[in-house]
Amino acid sequence: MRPFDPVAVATPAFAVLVIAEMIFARVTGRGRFEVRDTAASLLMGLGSVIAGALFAFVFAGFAARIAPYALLHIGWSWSAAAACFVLDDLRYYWWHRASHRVRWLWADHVNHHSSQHYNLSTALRQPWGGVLALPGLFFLVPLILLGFPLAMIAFVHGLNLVYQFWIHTEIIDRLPRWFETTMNTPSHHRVHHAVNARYLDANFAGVFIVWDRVFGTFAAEDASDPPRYGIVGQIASFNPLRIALHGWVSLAHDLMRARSPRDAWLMLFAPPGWSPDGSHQTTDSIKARWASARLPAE
Amino acid sequence: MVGVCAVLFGRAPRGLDADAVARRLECEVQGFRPGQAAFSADGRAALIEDAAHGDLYLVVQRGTAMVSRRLSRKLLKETRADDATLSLRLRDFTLRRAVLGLGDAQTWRARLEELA
Ligand SMILES: [Zn+2]
Ligand SMILES: [Zn+2]
Repeated sequence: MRPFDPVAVATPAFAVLVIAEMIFARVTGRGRFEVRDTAASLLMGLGSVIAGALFAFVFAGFAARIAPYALLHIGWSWSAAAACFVLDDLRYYWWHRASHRVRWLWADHVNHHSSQHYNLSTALRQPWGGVLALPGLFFLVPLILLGFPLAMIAFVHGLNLVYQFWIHTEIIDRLPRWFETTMNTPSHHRVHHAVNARYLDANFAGVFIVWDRVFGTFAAEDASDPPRYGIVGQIASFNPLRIALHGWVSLAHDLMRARSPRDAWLMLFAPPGWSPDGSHQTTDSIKARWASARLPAE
Repeated sequence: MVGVCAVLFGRAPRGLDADAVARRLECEVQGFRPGQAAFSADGRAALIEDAAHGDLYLVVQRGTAMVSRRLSRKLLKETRADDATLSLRLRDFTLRRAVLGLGDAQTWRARLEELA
């Protein structure tokens, strides 16, 4: 029997909802689409599925090697699946935070952020890196060592991704307060995709925004500063291959020019934008300049 | 999906607008003050000076969005100009070429050659 994959089951609904959002955006003027941008996002999504299938054996092999050392042997039950879902969302938070703060992981994750548009098709703009983004796998180790079945981890992770689809939209403003307080919402995730200085490195949550509130990375959307989407150095291509490779090409380019093992190490593991002479911008330096410009003149 | 998008949103975008370019750079560059600017005749690219810091920016239109780059000798691979066209080749994986229809292309080329 094939394992149940929530993303595969939801894909037809994704297609219907993307089209519905396009029609709604055209009729009401709320929400923006760009033909080549949407085409690129869809092709990125397709490429990501293919890359995922090609590299699935690497992930399975990695997990199978760790599984024998599990502390517990948790069986299938609704309560176990619920616990796994919550813990996987915590895992997602830290993986996602690392994906913005560690250049090696950012080289892959940057693809998801490479559009200047924010609509349901953006949700499908997923990276192709797979095995190249290997360090990301280590975030799975605690769940495997706790003893959750590998199929259960894959299942709840699929549910998590399905949840994140609908939050990529500008047509939903704010939801009821209790929901905005606990759950990741379109408003919170718009902040995450924004390049405005005040919003950088915020809202890494997958499903529960609570993690950002607990770990100090929450930022609320401010109506006076509408999000501008994309990445700090916006890309100028709609070619899926260029989009998929640009983070890796940039990383390889810098690594080839590293003057010492220490520099190479920091190029891989320091935040994106780190350079030996400090001549490039990082999100920290952008935020610091923005904050100092806001200080009242003494 | 792409077909539906083309039907609903397939109109050709308007060219770059001077105010929008300046506003965009003000958002992207702390303290940016628009100085001299030159817009390509096709409206798809512009050169604009940051009068506050003395930098020069290339802004290109990509669909309905804009992409900017601070120009430097390191970024510019080749600069060519004839009477009415300035062609730039850049060391940039996603923005490798920009062509601007400018009446004073030679003047801007000379300006670019002075960049640090
Ligand atoms: Zn992200
Ligand atoms: Zn997203």
